[in-house]
Amino acid sequence: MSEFQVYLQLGFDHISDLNAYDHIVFIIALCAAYPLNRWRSVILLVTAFTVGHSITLALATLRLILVPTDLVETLIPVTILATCLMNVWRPFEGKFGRKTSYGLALFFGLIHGLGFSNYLRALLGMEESIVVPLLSFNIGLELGQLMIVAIFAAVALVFLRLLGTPHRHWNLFVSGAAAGVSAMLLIGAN
Amino acid sequence: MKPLGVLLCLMILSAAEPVSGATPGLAAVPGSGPAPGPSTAPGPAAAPAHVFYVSIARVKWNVDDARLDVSVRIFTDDLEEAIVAEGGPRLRLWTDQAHADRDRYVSDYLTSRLAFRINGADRQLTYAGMEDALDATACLVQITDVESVDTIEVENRILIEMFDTQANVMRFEIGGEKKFVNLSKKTVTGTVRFGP
Repeated sequence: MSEFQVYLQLGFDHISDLNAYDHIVFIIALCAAYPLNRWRSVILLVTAFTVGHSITLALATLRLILVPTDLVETLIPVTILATCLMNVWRPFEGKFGRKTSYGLALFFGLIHGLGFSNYLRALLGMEESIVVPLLSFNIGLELGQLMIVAIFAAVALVFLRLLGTPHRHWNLFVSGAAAGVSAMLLIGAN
Repeated sequence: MKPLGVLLCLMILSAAEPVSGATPGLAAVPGSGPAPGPSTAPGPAAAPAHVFYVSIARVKWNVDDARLDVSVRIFTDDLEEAIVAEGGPRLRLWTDQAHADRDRYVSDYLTSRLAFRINGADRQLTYAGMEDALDATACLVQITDVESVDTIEVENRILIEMFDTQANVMRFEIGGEKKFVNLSKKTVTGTVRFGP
């Protein structure tokens, strides 16, 4: 097994691990507000999220920034809750709103990246190059995210197309469920 | 818009609170000895949502000293939990209240979970210390009188009794050659070959 494969696997396993569901719930919350015909927006959103967490993952693993694990673990459910609330509240609309959503996804990505990095940094020593571990871990995370989006889209397809659920109801249902999970995480983190 | 902003501010404020006194590795404000205490103390961590169950071991052959150095990084809380689960005390590593016999417990745990066979022969592991690595602990074990390395068969059972998804990555560096194995509950043993 190559170094690339090992860290790719770790990244993929980490994001798709059902025990580590906070990232999964966040991605579901990101997708919930979009009807199926706006899949391009979803891909852009998830990519913005990836860019965000790649930046902080790199910075923190290289020890250029250091944020306490406890703070990060509290902020992550805050990002989920905020996303859910905005799905329902829709404070930003129109073209400006779309840009704001991408900006927020990027910003929230920065916070999730700190979460990944606090673990990776503790395990990687300083004595060797961390370019390959970082890059492959990120690609693994991205592949895992895309898998989550695909599964979520398949479930959404059943409700929105087969069962004829109005998208507004679907969004409320999913965002509400994700908000509940994030509230439990917030209580648990404190 | 407004209520949302207020709500977010409140949440961020309440989030910021518990951070003081966290980061055991860095905190250590001189003179503030007995203050927080229970931050990491009681009970098993309730339903951790954000989990990353991985250890990384670096295995390096020191040719000059004919010695194999094995540095295993394990999350400190997981390591302590595993030792408690075996009936040992809570070690409280890297705190003021660290257990006096911590080295013995960590040594016993590691040497019972790792096994090396070099060039077909079972080899004895010797514990050589540990150091703080932020959320993790880097533990060093050594194998002496290693004159040549053609094959290493390794067994790694670290933390697999605790977590079903535990992954134990092992990175070997022997005479400039690098090899990796990724072990888990499903596959606890691996073999790496070196040289032509």
